[in-house]
Formats: sequence, structure tokens, C-alpha cells
Amino acid sequence: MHDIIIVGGGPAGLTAAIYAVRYGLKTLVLEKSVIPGQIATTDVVENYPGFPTIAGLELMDRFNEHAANIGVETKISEVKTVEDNGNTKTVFTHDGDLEAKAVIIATGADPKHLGVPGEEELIAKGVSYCATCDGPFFSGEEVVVIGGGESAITDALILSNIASKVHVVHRRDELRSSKILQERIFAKENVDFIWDTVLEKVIGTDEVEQVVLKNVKTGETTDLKTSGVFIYIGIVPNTRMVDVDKDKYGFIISNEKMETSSKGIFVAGDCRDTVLWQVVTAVADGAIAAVSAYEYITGLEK
Amino acid sequence: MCNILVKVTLVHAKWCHFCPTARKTWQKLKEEFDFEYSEVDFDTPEGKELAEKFKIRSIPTTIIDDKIAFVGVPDEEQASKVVA
Repeated sequence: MHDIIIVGGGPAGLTAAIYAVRYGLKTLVLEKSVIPGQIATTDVVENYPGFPTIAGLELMDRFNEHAANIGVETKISEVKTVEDNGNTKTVFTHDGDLEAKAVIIATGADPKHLGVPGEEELIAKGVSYCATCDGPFFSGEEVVVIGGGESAITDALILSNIASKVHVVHRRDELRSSKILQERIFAKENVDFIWDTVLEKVIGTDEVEQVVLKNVKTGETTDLKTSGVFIYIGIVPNTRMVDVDKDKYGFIISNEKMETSSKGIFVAGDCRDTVLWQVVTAVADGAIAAVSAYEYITGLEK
Repeated sequence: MCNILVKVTLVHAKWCHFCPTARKTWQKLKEEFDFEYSEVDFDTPEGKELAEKFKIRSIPTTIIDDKIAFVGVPDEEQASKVVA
């Protein structure tokens, strides 16, 4: 039996693992992807202290290298469910069942879908949630970015270097992203802004051909020809595998020690109900969750 | 009677962070099942040709017998049913 199983090998999970190994706990990280972490899809990270500018993929590589060097054991395996059996927890995976004294859920989140007509049908046919992943397919074409937050503007900047024109569609009349990103995007000549507007529909047969936009103040709808729609309206946590208290969106509710409603099950990172989902907060969560798990396991042994 | 093998082509790229997981999935299935398997880098003339022919807008994309079968990392269970 492992002392601790960490579900998810992104920044939160790997930090928890680094701390757990240093505390002498027999630790296993289960991760479904060869390259984990939402941050790996980010072109450039500029707000992680010590790294003024670093590619998301490289930062993730460094976390992996650090964890591997310290002796963290990682297995590529998808977790189906986590069951709380009191003093032991069972983790059911596609490759068999595992037991641990404590579990940290660090499964992260995925981009949220808008739910408008045409969106699901045209995913990967012009509808995308990641410019780093799909941007190169839109070289010299016109694309639309939905959203005005940090992710939307970061990816609009990436797309402005690939596409001929980027239309940023935002439901408010000002951006929510950081000032530094706003300055950069406003300086781009091939980016324009459609304010107070939401996406109503995506139209196309084999691929995206146009979008229908609606002004939320006037109610007026307009059609816009485009081959790509990049949507950034928030995240959905990957928490279905565990039955603990969650908020209405599925984010796991925890206290300041990262304890969930089930004793011995802890949470860290983007799947946690918190106010800021960043690498820097994910790693902090991971450290706290590991120390709390250590205290919990030590308490079991007394 | 001769069996015609299923032909699986994975279109991937070095900059695509989901691609290593897709490659690992297909390489694992290739060890278990008998099918024709090839990997094509999007950033090659062959990759561009496939992208244009199949209107690929996202990778990893798996083409099976001349049709797009999976976009994104293929679900191992579903993928195994296709090649079994």
C-alpha cells in the first residue's frame, strides 16, 4: 500500500509529490497524459516568480525533472474513481486498483464550453479552446476569440502572429485581463474588439464558416465570416471521479489545509474551489495538501 | 483468404502537447493488435498534404482507412475496437 496517491501530475500534483517524498512518504502520482497540466498548453508564462518568461511546456518539463530527480514515482494511468474506505482509500484505474492511506486530488480542469448551437459539432473543425494547440492551422485566415480574460487575451496575442485578422468578442465593454496584456493586444494592428457582444451560434457544415454574434445591450445580431472560433470563458474541474463536497460548478470545497469533506482526501490546484487558478497558487496548494496529508497519516499511526 | 489490415495514420507535431499521449496510445495498441500504423509530422510536406486533404484543424488527428476517426487523444477502449 502507498502512503499517498496523488491523482494528477500537473504543477499542483507534482509539488505535492515533491513535498510528500521529502517527508518520507511512499508516494505515487497517477497521470492520464504523457505531458500533463493545462499550463503545458500555454505559450509563455510570465507570472511565475524566478522565471520572467518561460514556455508553459518547458516549465512543466522542469517540474517533471525536479520531481523525477527527487524520486517521485509517476505512472501514466487514468483514474476512474476514488473510494473512501475510512483509514484506507481505493483508487480504481483502467490498469487495476490501488490502495493508499491518503489521496490528493490534483486533477485540474479543462476549458469550459459555451453550449451554443454549432459549437460541439464543429469542435476540431474550427472551434477550439487552445491557440497553442490549434493556432497553426489558421495561418493567414480570420479568426474570432471569445472572452476578455487572461486566457482569451494571451491566446489572441498568439493568434495575432498567425492569423490575418483576430476579432476579440467580449460580453463587457472592457477587458478583464492584466494591464500588461491589454497594452500588448491594443498595440496589435490586426486585432479588433467587438464589445458588449456574445456568441450566439457557430455555422458551418464540414468546417466553421461563420458565427452569429449578439450585442447584449441592443439585442442586435450580426453575422461574421470566419474559419476559426477560439473560446475562453472559464474552466470546468475534473472532479467526477471523487465523491466529496463540491460547489455548483464541481470545484472541490476545502479548508485552508486543503482538507475535503472526506478525511484523508485532500485537494490541490485548478480543481479546487478558490479565487485564483494559476501555477503559483496550484503549487502552493500542492505543498499544503502534502503537509496536511503527512500530518493525517502520522495521526493514523499513533 | 487474405485479411486486409486496418490502416491507421496519426498526424502529430512537435509543438502539440497532446500528441505524445496519442502516440503512446497507438504504439501500445500496435503491440497488442495487427494493423498498419504510421505517424506523420504535420510540419512536413506529407503532413501538410494530409491536413489539406482531410481539412484537419486540430491535432493529434487519427485517420483510419481514409477517414478521420479521432481528433484529440483517442480513447483507448474505442480505438482498440477499431483495430481489433
